[in-house]
Amino acid sequence: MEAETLIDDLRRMLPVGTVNATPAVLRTYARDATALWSGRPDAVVTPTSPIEVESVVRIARRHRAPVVARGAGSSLSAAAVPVHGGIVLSFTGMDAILDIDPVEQVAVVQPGVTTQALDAAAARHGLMYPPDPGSRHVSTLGGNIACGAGGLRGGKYGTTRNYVLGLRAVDGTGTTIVTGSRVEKDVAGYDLTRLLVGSEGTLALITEAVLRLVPRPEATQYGVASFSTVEAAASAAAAVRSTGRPATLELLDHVCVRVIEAHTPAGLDTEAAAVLIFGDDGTEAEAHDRTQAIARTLRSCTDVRSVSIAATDEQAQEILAARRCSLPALARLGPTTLLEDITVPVSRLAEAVKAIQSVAQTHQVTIGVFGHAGDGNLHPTIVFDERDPQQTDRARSAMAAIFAIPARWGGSLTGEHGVGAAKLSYLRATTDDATWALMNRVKAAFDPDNILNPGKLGSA
Amino acid sequence: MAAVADGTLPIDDPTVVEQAGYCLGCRACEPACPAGVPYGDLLERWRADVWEATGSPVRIRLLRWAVKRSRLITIGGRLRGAARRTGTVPTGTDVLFLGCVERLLYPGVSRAVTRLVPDISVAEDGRCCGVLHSHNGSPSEGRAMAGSIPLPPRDGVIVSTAGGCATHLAQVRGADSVQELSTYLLSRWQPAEGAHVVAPRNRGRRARAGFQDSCHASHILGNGSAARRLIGLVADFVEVPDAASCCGAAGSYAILRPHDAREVLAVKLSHLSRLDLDYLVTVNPGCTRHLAAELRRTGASTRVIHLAEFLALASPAVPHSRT
Repeated sequence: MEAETLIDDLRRMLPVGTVNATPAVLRTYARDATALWSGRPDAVVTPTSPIEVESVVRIARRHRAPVVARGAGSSLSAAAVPVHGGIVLSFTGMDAILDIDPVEQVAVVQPGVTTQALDAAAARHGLMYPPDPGSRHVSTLGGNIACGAGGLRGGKYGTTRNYVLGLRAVDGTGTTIVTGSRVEKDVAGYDLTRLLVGSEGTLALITEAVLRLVPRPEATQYGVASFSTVEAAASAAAAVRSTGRPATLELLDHVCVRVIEAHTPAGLDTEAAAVLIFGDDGTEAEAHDRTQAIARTLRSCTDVRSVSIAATDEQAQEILAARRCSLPALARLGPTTLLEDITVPVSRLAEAVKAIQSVAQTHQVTIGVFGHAGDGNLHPTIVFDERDPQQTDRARSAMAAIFAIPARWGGSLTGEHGVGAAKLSYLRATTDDATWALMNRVKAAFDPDNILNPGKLGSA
Repeated sequence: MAAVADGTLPIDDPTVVEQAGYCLGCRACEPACPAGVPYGDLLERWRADVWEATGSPVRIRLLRWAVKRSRLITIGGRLRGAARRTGTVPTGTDVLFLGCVERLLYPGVSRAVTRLVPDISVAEDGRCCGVLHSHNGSPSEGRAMAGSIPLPPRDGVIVSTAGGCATHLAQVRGADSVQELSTYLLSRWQPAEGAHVVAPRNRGRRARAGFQDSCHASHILGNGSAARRLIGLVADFVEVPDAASCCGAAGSYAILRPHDAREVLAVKLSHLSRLDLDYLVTVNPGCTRHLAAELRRTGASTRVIHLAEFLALASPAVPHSRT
């Protein structure tokens, strides 16, 4: 059998314990965190060095077998699902922080380091790694780079692509390529670094990254405001953005607020139609003044019910924890969640939220809306039971309707989760033929035999 | 589990069998899960299905058989000198439940409880609460066993000195009827004026004491602060890093998988060696046994002791001696 000779070859070339093909393990690696998607991998490999990654790709190329890179498997776009089988290459065995330079303010890491581990290591030098996706305690930096992860501080600090200075990566021929450098000012050659950020393992497998760190703010303050309509909350977020770029400006609709309060009570207003969590960082005085200024802006907005600022650090942490648990807490409403990731211009937030609510009504599905209002990035989450075919059909059609929303105002169908397998057909539908063909040619240049994460970007 | 449920993997798949036994069942995942997945219940049923198909390990079958010998346990407890109903007539309505393992291995624990709370009655009846059955492939039998434990009259509560038993009983009989010792003592006991536990190696100095949580008491019942406060009343309390994570004893886990149990404890042992405690206080006999054995092996001088016995050391009425 083909799979067996592939596994034999991998075992011959890689250290003992690196290759696993037991049925239960293959089953575990068949999925990522995306509902409704699964594949059938032939083998799972866990290399511990860039040379081993090269070996895996070379062997795979000989066998024309797909290689799907995987970090923590927390992808929400089915980017880590081996839709055409083959090898799942897990980077969990390459998790060393190779260097943190407090003068240059850069970190050099292997791809399997978790986002939180890097930020914690940076904190010891008074530095911070700003991207903080909801899954940061498990998500890996390789995965963050591959999908262009964002987080709760995106409005002020941007997303992963603002922090990658250089990469080492293995292309589809099993050859290591080097992009960018250690320095920020660098226009030598094409910006291949930026091209690899968000390429979802379809162009090359990242084996090392140079990341930019920033000085860690001395203090952060947080507050909460509640509103009697969701549109009012969204408009208020736009009003805040017109006065600056706060670090945190998060929206939670009443569906989310209620499930969160049932799980980790943080004193959120369960009678409100929506809640905004806001805050900013800087020196002690800056954090205080900026957060007070946001509160003043919010108090002057229409349909505001209450605005308060966390009095203690514990209160602030409770508020943040509440926001962070919104997705898992929504899972209490139903066993399956389909989480979307649309981005619209901040000035269109209110209209977008309204459009999502009408989708929920038309398709008779439960949708909880939370997201990063500060950068127009919303996560409408459809909650249903995938064992019920009718519910699943309604969920799928609601999802398609949500994808159509951002195009109205020049937005994007994914802000930080990536396209993966889940959004590929929707991306095709909103991309012109010339651009689509160019993406396929770029893919072919990196990966002539289409073995890197096939069935995703560049090969559909 | 999902793969077995949907038929992708057979119930006797080697990895499935291995993983059903490998999990400690500490249930730390339950309070952490915002989606409210009842993992403990899923694990119990999964383990039962797997072992039904492949046969339970011999040690587990022996254990399940042994804890049902209630008359022998009753007699054994008496021979070992566990607390008895005799002596001063209890006036309270609360009943101390003597766990089957504890009364045989650590009879001093129940005696210490009756010293701390003289009006508590003692249920000498050697019936097991069924927690070992529940965790080891017979959840329905385990529930039935807990259901057959007589409840105290009127508004009394069953008091258990074992975190595992207390949690199991509370889950089957209702949290209003059952209390784990630490929360019970917090409202019922206070040290005598000035009483404290002295350090064994340096008499006169207050002892330095740490605490190891019982997984189920802390994750499911939410207990933990009570024991820490009680210890702090009579000694210098030292928080042990990762005290709330499992020590590896995990009920019968240390008996069934001694190697894995030691590996789980290894990290904790390195913390403990740095802390140089006089006492490490526990609220579950499995933890006491595992921690004491492993600390002895490493030559540490820290003494592992149950909360009841530890607090009894502080009582001026009791001479400072090993129970």
